[in-house]
Amino acid sequence: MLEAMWQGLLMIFVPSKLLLLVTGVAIGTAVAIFPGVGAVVALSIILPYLIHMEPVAAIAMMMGVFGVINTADSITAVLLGIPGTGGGAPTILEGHPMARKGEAARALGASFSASLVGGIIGCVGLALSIPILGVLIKQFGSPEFLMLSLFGIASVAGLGGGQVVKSLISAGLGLFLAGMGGAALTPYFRYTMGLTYLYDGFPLPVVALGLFGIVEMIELVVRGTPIGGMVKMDVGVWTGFKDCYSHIWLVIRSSLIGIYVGLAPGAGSTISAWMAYGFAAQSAKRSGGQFGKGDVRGLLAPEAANNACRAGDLVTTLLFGVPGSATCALILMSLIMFGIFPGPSMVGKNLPITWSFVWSLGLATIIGVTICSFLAKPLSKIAILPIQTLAPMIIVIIVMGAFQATQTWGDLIALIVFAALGWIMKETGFSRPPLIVGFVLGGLIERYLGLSLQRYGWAFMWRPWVIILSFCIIAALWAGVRVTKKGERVETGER
Amino acid sequence: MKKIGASTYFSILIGVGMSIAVIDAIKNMPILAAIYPAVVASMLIVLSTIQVINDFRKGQSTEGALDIEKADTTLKVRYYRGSRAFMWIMVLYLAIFLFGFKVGAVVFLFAYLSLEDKGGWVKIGLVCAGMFLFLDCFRRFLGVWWSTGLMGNILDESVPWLF
Repeated sequence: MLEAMWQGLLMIFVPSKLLLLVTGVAIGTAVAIFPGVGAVVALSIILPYLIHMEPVAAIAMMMGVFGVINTADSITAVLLGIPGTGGGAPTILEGHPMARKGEAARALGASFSASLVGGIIGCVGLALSIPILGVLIKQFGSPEFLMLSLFGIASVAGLGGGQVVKSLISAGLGLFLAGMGGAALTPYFRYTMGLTYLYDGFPLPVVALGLFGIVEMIELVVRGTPIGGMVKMDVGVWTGFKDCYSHIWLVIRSSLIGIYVGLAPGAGSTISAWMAYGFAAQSAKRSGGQFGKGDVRGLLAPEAANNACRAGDLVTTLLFGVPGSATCALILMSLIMFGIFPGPSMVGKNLPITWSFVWSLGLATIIGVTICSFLAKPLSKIAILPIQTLAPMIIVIIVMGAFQATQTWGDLIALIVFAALGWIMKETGFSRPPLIVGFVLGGLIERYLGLSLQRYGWAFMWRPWVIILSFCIIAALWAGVRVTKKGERVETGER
Repeated sequence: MKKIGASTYFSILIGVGMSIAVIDAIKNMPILAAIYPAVVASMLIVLSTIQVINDFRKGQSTEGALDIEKADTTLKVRYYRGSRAFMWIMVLYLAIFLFGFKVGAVVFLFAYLSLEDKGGWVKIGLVCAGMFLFLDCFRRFLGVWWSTGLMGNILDESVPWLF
């Protein structure tokens, strides 16, 4: 274990890998500034280039993006009152009022320092989970991984927001699209419609760029330039760091909430941030506070939680092969494209690779917080650049990236088809993350199903962990149905 | 009465598409290849049917109905702007087909910024030049490859730096 930890560190501590990590951090920071554009768009844009790199280099760049998004999104949340990502929404409640009172720098300092602590604690949690969960994973076989994959889909559909049936339809579409092209169990090509392009199925970068990249750019263009004056940023970032130190136990508790929520596929940084905020508000009631009017504790808690949540997401993605979000689905698919399959190998022969994730995430958090702390003011100006100028440039980059998948016009046609599908789904209330999760897991599910049937026949359904995970799937779907029904009752005014 | 919206039509479309997929899987594919798509498509048929039924049931209720007139106007604006954005992407594709990626991107940006952004010539020039240089750096340092378009096929040897 220690040897693998050291090997993982040596893999990352190479100038070229560190440069890629910093590049990923820079891209993630720039993307996080744009409201509504998150890690999944950033990863989609760099994905076509990652697959031509060696695995550790790609991991460094991905973790650079992944580790900084929830830190950098607090810049627009505090200064403009617009969340960069879903996890930044609670930050607005306290951060923006603080900024209006002339404490913008303090708010950002508190946010960045809490993100740093949350990110580091998350990495420690990820590191500790490797030996502990490694024992469990080695007991799992194809049937258990099949059920884990189905659980991942059920969780993202049930807990990821939106109506459960619509989310399941999205996930099912993803599973179906994954089945196009070569079959996993037999040499047969399905639904190719006579097109050579479809023999290998749809390339993931094209699907991700179409569904998220193009659609989010069009959304920004449709909405227009973000409105709202920017609050001026004064000096005093270090005051915020001192606030984090003064409330360190709150930050640590919130980080633990973040890791715990991150372990549940589909829950995500938004839920972890709100849970931590609610917890901090409850504790603050007893001691008195000004929640909602600019209380720094309401800023520290969600920022720590949403960064720690990233590590929780990675635990289930790397060790169980269950991506809890669209972002983790892209990370998982990148690994599969390199021939690295999640599961026992991640605590066996690929243990140094797993440790390289841990080290990369930790470094990305530290570098991201440093960049954001020194460059918050100029970075915030990106958010008020006119979208009519930026969006076409980003679309050109997206189109260029999509073309790298197979370097044929089929990529561009597929890109526009998925962009149209993504736009229709967005307008009709069908959630897109379940589609990408289904697309990524579809191939694995078919493979695990085939292996399970070959080895055990239908008797695999009676294995203990298969039964337990079946109940977990039902519980995740039931929870989603309850949330949907509650939302519908609120909408119709029922009590 | 609340209108049935695009969501229902989308669900119906999925149901119909998956029905065709299931029939194709059962009729034309060997059993090992057909199991997975047939199961997934069947599930989608069931789910889309449930969604359509839910939509029709909600449509029968007048309680909590949205202000349809207002919603329609906002939706129309969104659809118009979204369609316009897609049209511009088609323009980008046409430019790439004719001029290749580098020149095509510049042509597209020039057209878009002149017509949509109505920015000054200095701004348009800076953006186009910046994008040209950016793409050139991508090509040189990352070894990215793209097509040179119809014009590139003719002029590539005389002005290779352009494409």
